[in-house]
Amino acid sequence: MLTILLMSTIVAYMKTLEIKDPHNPTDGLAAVVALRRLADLLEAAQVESALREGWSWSDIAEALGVTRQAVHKKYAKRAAAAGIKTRRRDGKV
Amino acid sequence: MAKFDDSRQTVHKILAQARTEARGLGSPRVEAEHLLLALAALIHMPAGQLLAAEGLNHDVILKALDLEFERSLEGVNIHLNGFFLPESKMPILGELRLAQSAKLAIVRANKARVSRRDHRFDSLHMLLGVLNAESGVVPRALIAAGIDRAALITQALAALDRAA
Repeated sequence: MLTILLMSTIVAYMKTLEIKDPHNPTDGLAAVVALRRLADLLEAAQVESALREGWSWSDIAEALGVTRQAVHKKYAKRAAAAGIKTRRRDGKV
Repeated sequence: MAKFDDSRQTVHKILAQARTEARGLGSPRVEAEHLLLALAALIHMPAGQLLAAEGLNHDVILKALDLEFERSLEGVNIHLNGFFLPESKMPILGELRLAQSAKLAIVRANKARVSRRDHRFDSLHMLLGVLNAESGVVPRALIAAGIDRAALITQALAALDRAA
């Protein structure tokens, strides 16, 4: 009886905390999709912020752990369309 | 030929609106949820009218998608708690590609049309294509918002029957 009571209390507690099963692929895969979207949104916003503060493409690339070419290809035209003046490799604007 | 042109125009309008939705949300690809938002935005089309009649206007669907996003992150113990996500002002340029979720929705939409032997492609077929996904962002968003996906599918089929 005590075991049943204890188990039901634990289940009720878990429900209030909305603890999800970390091994449940439904929740896990949904989280992967949401995290990708979160990362995409954060990356675009932070790259823009860095460019506006005068960071070079090389500095941004190094911070992101990607090549300068990769970050430049992904954001250069978008930055220009937003009117952001970017620094060249020689430091000139 | 007129039916073919009508069908092509319907698909073209939905895809154009879906690209606008994706761009507005900062997505580099058109996903199935952008097709659903497009259908809700195109209120002159039968799918938009059905969604509106069920109280699923564009804003309601956007909120459902936000809720799904937050809940999915909570699945790995990340809580946004009203955290204001910074938004980039850099526009997304060029023609947005269709992501796999959108491609599958279009394939399912056409399957729905063929299986019903409907000659013309209607926005309701596209709605069926989006709603017939068993997993992914759209079904999760509908569950999160307490929307009965099966009932919506039944209503879309009934609307197609009436239009036939």
